[in-house]
Amino acid sequence: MTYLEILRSAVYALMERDETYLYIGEDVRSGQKGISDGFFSKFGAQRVIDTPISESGFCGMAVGLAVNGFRPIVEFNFSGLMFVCLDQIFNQAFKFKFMTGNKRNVPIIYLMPTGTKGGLAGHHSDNTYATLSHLGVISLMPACKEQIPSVMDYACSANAPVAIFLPVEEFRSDTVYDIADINPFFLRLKCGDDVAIICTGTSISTVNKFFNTASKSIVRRTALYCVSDLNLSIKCLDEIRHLKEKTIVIVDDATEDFGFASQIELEIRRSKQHECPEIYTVCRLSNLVPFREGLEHALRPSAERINEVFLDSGLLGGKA
Amino acid sequence: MKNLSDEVLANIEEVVPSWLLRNPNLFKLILIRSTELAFGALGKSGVIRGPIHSSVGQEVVAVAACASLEDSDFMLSNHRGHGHYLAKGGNLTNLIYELLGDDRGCCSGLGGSMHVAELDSGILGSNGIVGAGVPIACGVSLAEKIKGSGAVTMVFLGDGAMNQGVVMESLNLAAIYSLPVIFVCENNQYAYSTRSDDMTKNAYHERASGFGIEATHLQDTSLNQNLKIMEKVVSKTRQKSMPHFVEFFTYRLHRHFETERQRAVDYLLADLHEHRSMNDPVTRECVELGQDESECDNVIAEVKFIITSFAETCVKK
Repeated sequence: MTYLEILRSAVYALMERDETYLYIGEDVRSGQKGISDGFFSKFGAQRVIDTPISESGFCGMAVGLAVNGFRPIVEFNFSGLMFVCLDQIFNQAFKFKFMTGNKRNVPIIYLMPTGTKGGLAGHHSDNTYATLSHLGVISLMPACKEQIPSVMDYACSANAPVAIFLPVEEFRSDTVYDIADINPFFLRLKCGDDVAIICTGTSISTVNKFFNTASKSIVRRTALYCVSDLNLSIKCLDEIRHLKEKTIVIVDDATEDFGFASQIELEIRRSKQHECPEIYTVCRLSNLVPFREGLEHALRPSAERINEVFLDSGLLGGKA
Repeated sequence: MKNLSDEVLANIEEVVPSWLLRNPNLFKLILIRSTELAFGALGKSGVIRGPIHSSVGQEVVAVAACASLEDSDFMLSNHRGHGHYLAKGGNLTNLIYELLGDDRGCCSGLGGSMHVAELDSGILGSNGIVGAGVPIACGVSLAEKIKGSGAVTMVFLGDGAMNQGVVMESLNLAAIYSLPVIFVCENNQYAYSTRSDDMTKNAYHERASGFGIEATHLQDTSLNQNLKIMEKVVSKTRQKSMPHFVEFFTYRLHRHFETERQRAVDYLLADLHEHRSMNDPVTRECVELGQDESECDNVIAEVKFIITSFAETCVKK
C-alpha cells in the first residue's frame, strides 16, 4: 500500500470508530485529494462536509464544532493555504482554551499536504510547518506510511488543534521501512557509526536517492534519522540530544533561516556545548520557488547537494 | 433572575427599587449601563488594566436580542461584549473578577475585558479580532443542527466587521448549510474613528440579503418593540432552522475605548453626538415606564457604586 492509501485507511478508521469525527474541506465529498475517497458514501453528508473555497470560514466553523462536541478533521488543499486563515488556526483555535480559562478542549486535526513533487511554482510548493511550530501549534509530519497510525493516534489524544503535514512527494510512495520503534516523534531509520543524517518527511525521498548513489562506505557508515515532531517536544529532543555521531547533516525541504533545520541545529548545540558535532545543513534556499525546472531543482535539497556536503567537507573520505 | 452565587448581583437586587425588579428587561438595561460606567471609571483609575470597550448607548440591542434566547441557546460576542454577556445571563461577579485579572474570573483572569465567556451557560466567548467569532458561531450552530437540539446560536458583530472577508464567508456558509444562527449587526456608526458610511456603499442588511439570508433592519428606538420583533426572529430561526441577519442601527455614546484620547480634530460628528446624548435610550425607557430622569440616574449611580466598591475592595485584599 502507498502512503496515501495508509493515510486514507487511518482517517477512515477514525471516522468509523467515533461519530464525533467530521471531515471538512474543499472537494472532500468527491475525494479529489485521495484522502477522503469513498467517505461520503460511507459516512454521509452530515459527516463529510464539502465547503466553499473559504478557508477562514470553514476553519472558524471547525472551531465552533470543536467547542461544541465534535472533532473536526479539516483537509487543506495544500499547506500554503494556511496563510489565508491563520487567524482562525492561531488566534482562535489555538488560543480558545487558554483564553476562556482552560475549561474546554478544541480538538481539531488539520491535514495539510505540503511541499512539491515539482512544477507547482511559487504558490503551491511551500513547506510552512515552521510557521505553526513557531506559533506553538502542535505540528507533526509522518515521514513514511509506517508512522501514519501513530501520528494519527497522537493527534487524537492531544485534544487540541493539531496540524498534520503530509509531504505530497510521499503520497504515491510504497517504500517499506524496517523500523524497530515506531512513534510519532523521531524515527531511527538506518544505523551507521560516523555520520548522522537527520531528515524530515519533505526530504526523506531525497536522502534515499542520495543513499542510492553514494559509495558503499558512506552508506554503511551513515545513520539516518527522521524528525516528525515539528515542535521538537521533549520526547523528540531527548533523541536528538543523545545522538552519538560526530558529524550531523540536517536535510529539510524548507528554508533554513528562522526555520526548522536551524532549530534542530540550535538544540544540538545547546545540548552538546563541550563536544559539539560538526553540523551541516541542506535546505531549501529560498521561499521564492521558480517554475523553471533547473532553477527549482537547484533551490531544493537534492542527492547532489548532499553529496557536495560530503565532498566539500571531506566526510568519510569525501568520495561519494 | 436571581442567581445566589452571583454576590454582586444579589447586592444590587437588594437595593434597586421594586418597579425595576418588576421589569426584568429594563433591569438588565440598567445593569449593563451601570456595569459599563463602573468599568469605565475603574479603567480610568487604573484598577482595571487594558482597554475597555464600553457599550454605553447600545444596551437596547443586547437586551432585545438576548431576551428570547433560552438557557440552552448559544451566544458569541465581540470586543464590546460586556453587555451581551450580561444580557445572556452571565454571572456579574465573575465578570468583574475577570476584568480584574482575578483567577475567580469567568475565564480565570486569562481573557480580560475583550474575552469574556461562560461556556456552561452557552456564552462561548467574545473576541479581540473583529469578525473572527462569526464563523465560529456557524460551527456552533452546525453542531447543534447535527445534534438536532433545536438550539439557536446568536453572534454579535459590529459595522466594522461587515468589511471582514471571513464574515462574508460565514454568511455564505450559514446560507448554504441552513444554519439556525442569528447575526446581530450593531451598526453604531463608527468602526473605531471611521464613519461606517464612508467605508461601505450599501446597507449591511442588504448585503446579508444578497447571500440569500432573511434580513431585518431595526432602530434602537424602543426596547419593547424590539423585544417583540426579536422574539419572532428567534422563534422563526429555531422553527425553520434558517439563518437570520438583524441590523440594529444604534450609537456608541462613549469613545471606542474608555481611555481613548480626543484628537485635536475630533472624528465624532458633534451634532449627531449631541442629539444621541440628549436621547439616551436607557433614560428614555425609564421615562416611558413613568419614572423621572433623576430617579433613573440615581439607580444607575447606586448600582455603579456597588460594582465599583466591590472591585476596589477585591484589589485592596
